[in-house]
Amino acid sequence: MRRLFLALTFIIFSVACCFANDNGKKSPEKKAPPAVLKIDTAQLPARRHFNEKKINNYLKDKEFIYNKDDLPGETLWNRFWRWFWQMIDRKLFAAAGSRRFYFYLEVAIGVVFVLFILYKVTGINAISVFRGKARDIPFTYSESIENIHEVNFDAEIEKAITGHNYRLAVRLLYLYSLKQLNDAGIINWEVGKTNMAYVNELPEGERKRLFRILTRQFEYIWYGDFRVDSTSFTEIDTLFKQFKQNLG
Amino acid sequence: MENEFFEQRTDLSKLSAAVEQIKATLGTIIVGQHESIDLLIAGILADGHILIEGVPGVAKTLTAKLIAKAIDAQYSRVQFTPDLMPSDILGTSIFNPKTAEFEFKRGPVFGNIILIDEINRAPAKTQSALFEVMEERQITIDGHQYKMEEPFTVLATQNPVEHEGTYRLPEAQLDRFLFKIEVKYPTLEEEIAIVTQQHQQKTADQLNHVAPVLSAVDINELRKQVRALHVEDKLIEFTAKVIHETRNNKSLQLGGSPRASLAIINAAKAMAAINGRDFVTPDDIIYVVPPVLRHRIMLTPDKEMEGITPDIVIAQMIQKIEVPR
Repeated sequence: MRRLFLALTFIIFSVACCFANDNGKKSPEKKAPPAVLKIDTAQLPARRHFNEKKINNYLKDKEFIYNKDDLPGETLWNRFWRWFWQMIDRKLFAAAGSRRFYFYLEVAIGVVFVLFILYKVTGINAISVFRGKARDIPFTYSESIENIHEVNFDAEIEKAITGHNYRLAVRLLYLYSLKQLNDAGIINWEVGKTNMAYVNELPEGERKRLFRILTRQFEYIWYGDFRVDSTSFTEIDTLFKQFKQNLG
Repeated sequence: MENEFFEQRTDLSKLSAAVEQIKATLGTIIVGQHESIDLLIAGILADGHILIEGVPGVAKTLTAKLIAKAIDAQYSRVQFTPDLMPSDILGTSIFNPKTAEFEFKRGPVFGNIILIDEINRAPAKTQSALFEVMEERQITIDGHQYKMEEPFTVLATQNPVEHEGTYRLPEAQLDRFLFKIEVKYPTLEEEIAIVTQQHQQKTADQLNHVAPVLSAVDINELRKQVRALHVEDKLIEFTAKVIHETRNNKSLQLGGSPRASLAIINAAKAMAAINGRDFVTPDDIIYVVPPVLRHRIMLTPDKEMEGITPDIVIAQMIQKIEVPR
């Protein structure tokens, strides 16, 4: 029933449209008036000519040379570049013709497209060909701690103990341990590594256990700002000596 | 033996016990994800909001729900959708014909632990609704200021930006998250354990019986304790150098803000507390730098094209900065 209703509606509106466009009446034809030929009898004035001399004078005048832009106050350098680009412009458009330019442009786009496809297919990293890798980024900070390879640890530690600066003495003892581990080829000293990173570099065993304890003590004193007196320093110093013995 | 020379200045026993209990509770349901759980706990202790990102099906929402369940506080959840309006989150004024006055109807943001699921399904307009509440812990509507009750923590989950129907969060909002935790696929062993657990129908049952470990008051107390931990000046300088480097690094077009420096210190304090120390070490800082920075920095287009990730740049940067000792 719904389909029948839709079909009927469609037919009614389609027919109505046809009638709307054509009402069956034709418009009356209009008759054109008869053509009448008129003859122009007006008299023309005598033909006038431009003064050739004046025209030549105008042509020589700089103000009327429009294809050359002499800008007021233009420097010699700017004038050179303007000449350069005008020459390029003439070569590309005036001399060879703009059609040839567009032909070259199409060829260039085609070449770029082919290179892009090759780049995608081969997976070459075009940027890295011209630029360094990210790891080569120059770093702005310099090493501020002492170079552990140049410090006279024995003398410095002695000096700190004599001055009752046990905090500094523990720090120097710890740095000395790191140097000894590095010299023995057990760890690889780098400024960016943390103390726990060095602990993890050590193979399992007594040496690692001792170094872990020393690391914790150093961290409590140096980062935790825990006080260290002569008694506790003597105990810590004994552990450092044990560690040194273990290293052989 | 290791700490026999030093006595702890701060009593962290309650905090350590709570952390262990939360880990144990979550460990019965969540397989693996130890780093994510540590960071979630650290984030809550550091009074920060946490963004959890991962592909669908890696238990992002489940982890966030469990953490919320482990805390006995007002919990609300909002599912972000493309047609969500700011008033759907914050609340709106409704006319009451009985009193002939407008009454403010509070939105789901009024709570202690707010879980926003699939946060990047909503466009920037809706995201912007969270700017004030996440940073200032208050909202301003119709000239009235409504303060949030402490603790106030937003745990949001999102799919990676490249996925269908997602919007990139505005930088201003990303900066408000303390951590962006990336949840990775489980290992083979973990996957077997997940399937076995599900097969034995343990998960659903256990999920309903998760008991709260900490109250809102406890959380506030622990946060106070964490804030008071010791940070040596050299480590503050080290943190500032890390952030400063992000602003000068050629691989980055957007570096970290001062808020990032503060976030690193706060998060490092929380990590120190979790590890049972009342002072921060360089390890704590280095551990929290990637989750604090990965969503705040922006790579240059050429580095993105090369397939470099923020984590790679961060690792390279940290390697070159001298650890103070």
